[in-house]
Parts: sequence; structure tokens; C-alpha cells
Amino acid sequence: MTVYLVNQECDFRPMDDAMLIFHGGSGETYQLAGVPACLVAELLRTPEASTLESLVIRLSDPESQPPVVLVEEALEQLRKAGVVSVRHP
Amino acid sequence: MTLIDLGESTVQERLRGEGLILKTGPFAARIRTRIPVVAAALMQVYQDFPVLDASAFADFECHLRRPLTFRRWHRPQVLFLADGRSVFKPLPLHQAFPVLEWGMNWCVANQVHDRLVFHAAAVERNGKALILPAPPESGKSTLCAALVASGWRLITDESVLFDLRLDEVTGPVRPVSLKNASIDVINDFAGNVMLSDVCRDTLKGTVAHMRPPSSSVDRADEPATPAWVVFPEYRAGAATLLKPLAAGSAFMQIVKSAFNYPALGRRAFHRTADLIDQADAYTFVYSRLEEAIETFDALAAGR
Repeated sequence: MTVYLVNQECDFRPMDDAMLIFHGGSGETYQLAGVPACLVAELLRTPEASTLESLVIRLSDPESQPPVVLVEEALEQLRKAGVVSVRHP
Repeated sequence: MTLIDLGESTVQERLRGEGLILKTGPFAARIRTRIPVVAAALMQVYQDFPVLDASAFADFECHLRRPLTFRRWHRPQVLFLADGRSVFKPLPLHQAFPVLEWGMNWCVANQVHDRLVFHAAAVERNGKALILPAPPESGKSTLCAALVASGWRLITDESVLFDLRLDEVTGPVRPVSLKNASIDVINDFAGNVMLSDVCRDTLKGTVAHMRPPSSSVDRADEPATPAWVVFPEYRAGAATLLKPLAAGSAFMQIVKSAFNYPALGRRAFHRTADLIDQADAYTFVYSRLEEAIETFDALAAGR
């Protein structure tokens, strides 16, 4: 799976407290912390997630991390920033 | 052959003729000028630096000259040209030497893309580099000068070069640029340092340059392993405080100091992350240099 920000493929580097994202199109670098960072990390290691929505459903499992209630918020933050879309091979 | 071996009159002659090629770490700069004060200033703070043959390759072509305007008769000025192109607006002639220093900084910041270049100071002990990225007025150069006067090896005061393949930093060893109050602070802290003549009324206030120790110049090509990235902040009267900084925040802060991050793009992103993965990051607030030096000596000793 490739994660795109504003339709550009991105590079990712997880740090201990954050997810760093390099947006190849603009050359901008983002730092996500907290739940949005967990969400991107989850996206990167979840090849079977077919859409963001299905990912949220999967994460809605009560035992999942990050906590369910915040996943929607995190997603909303990413969407408001116009940054997340997911494409599959 | 070093500058002091050549002597001031030969230095003057080369500057006026085909150029003086000064080696500063990995770079060679050909300097040409007919402005007399430049030779004397070079002798003050670059005396131990190697000089290359006039036929050698130079990475930077630096030319200082007076602009040919009417102003030259009543308010003389100086222009810095890199590869024949003026890169700053003309400045008063008495600032010729600081203008040369700023011009050489400009060359590194704008013309070097085979390594990641950070606007930062770096010093070394036991093969490990302490990197001090910081905006102007943060006390970076004052701290760097004090560390060097206390036995740390100077890697650079201005431009940290991080290799794109190896986890090594180098720098163009050059004089440490001191401004305003920090000139007296360093004179008081370390009476044995050699400073250039003071230049007043520049855009940065009063400036002087500290001659690097000859031991640092001799080891200019020796790389060091990045061990600590410390963001210093001088705050009058503040207690000394070294505080760990989370890796993500350290990354975002140091990226602001990278001159060629946009030019190197994806490679710069990954190499900066490699650097932060490898080094421990801290913020550092200080007001007393003695305590600052003790803090970094303890860090280097693993205490």
C-alpha cells in the first residue's frame, strides 16, 4: 500500500514520538504526533486495509490501538489538512 | 605551505594578482582583491591555514572589489562577487573582511549540494561531534568559541556538513564569528584567544572573528560521528538547563537550519532522520559559560 498526501506519494520515518512525512510533490515535511501518527503507522503496516473507512472500522475493535474514539478525530485532522488518501496496488 | 609561511606581502601580492587559494576543510576558495586591509585581517585569523598553488582547483571564486559608482569618492563601498556575480548589496568599505567571511558562508550555503549542509556550529571530543544548530542571537557562536577555548576541537562555527552516505560530519574550519557583547565575553572567558580587529556598525552590529586553534586547523579533514544535537539558547540570568528533546521535534527544528534541504529533497529527509536517529537531542538554556562547559564536558564523559 502507498499512502498519498495531496496525490503525491510520500516517504515516512517513524520516530519514537512521532511520524515524519516527506511530501515529494511540494518538498514539505510534516510531523504528526499522537493519534494521527499512530493512524499513519497503522496504515503503513496494514496491507489489507482497503480504504480509510475500513481501516477505521478495523480499528474500531475495542482492543485496538490507538483508542477508537480518537481515530475518527485523527482522520478528520488529516482530511482537514487535505493530506491523506490511500491507494492500493 | 600556510599563510604565515607566505608572509603578508606575498599574501597581498597573490590577492592582487591571480588570487590566494585558501583551503578551509574540504573547500578551497580563491580570493582576489585589491583592498589592502583584507591581507592584514587574513594574517590575523587564518595564519595557520594551508594555501594552495595558484593553479589548483578552487571550489569558490571570491572577489572583493569597490563598486564603480560616484559614491566611491565620498563614501567608499565594497562588493562581494561569487563566480563573478554580486551576491550582496554594496556595504561600507571598512567592512571588507566581514563581507569576505559572509561571502564565503554564502558560497557554502548556496553552492554545496553533495552533502547536507546545516547552519550550525560543531565541536568534537573523542571522535564524537556536538552539533549546535540555532538561529542568530541564540548564543551559538559564543558557546562554540568557549568550548573551543576549553579544549574541544572546532569543526565549524557556521556550516555543518553531513555526508550523504557515511554517518560523519565535517565542516569548513574557519574563524568563529563573534558579535557585540560576545566579543568581550569571550575575551574575558579565555584571555588566550586571538581576535581580529573589531569592525563596528555592520548589519550585525559590532563583529570580530576568533582565530581557530592550529590543532583544529591541522585536523580540518578529520570527520566526527554525530553524537549530540543541542539547540542552545542564551537567556540572561537563566539557570543552566540541558533537557532531552523528543526525536520528532528535534528533526523539525534542525530541518529549519538545513540550507539545502529543498534542493536534496527526499535524500535530505532520510539523511536528517538518520542523523537524529543516531544522535541524542537536547535543548540547552544557559547564561554562564563556565557552567555550560561543565555540562558538555560531563556529557562527553558520559556522566
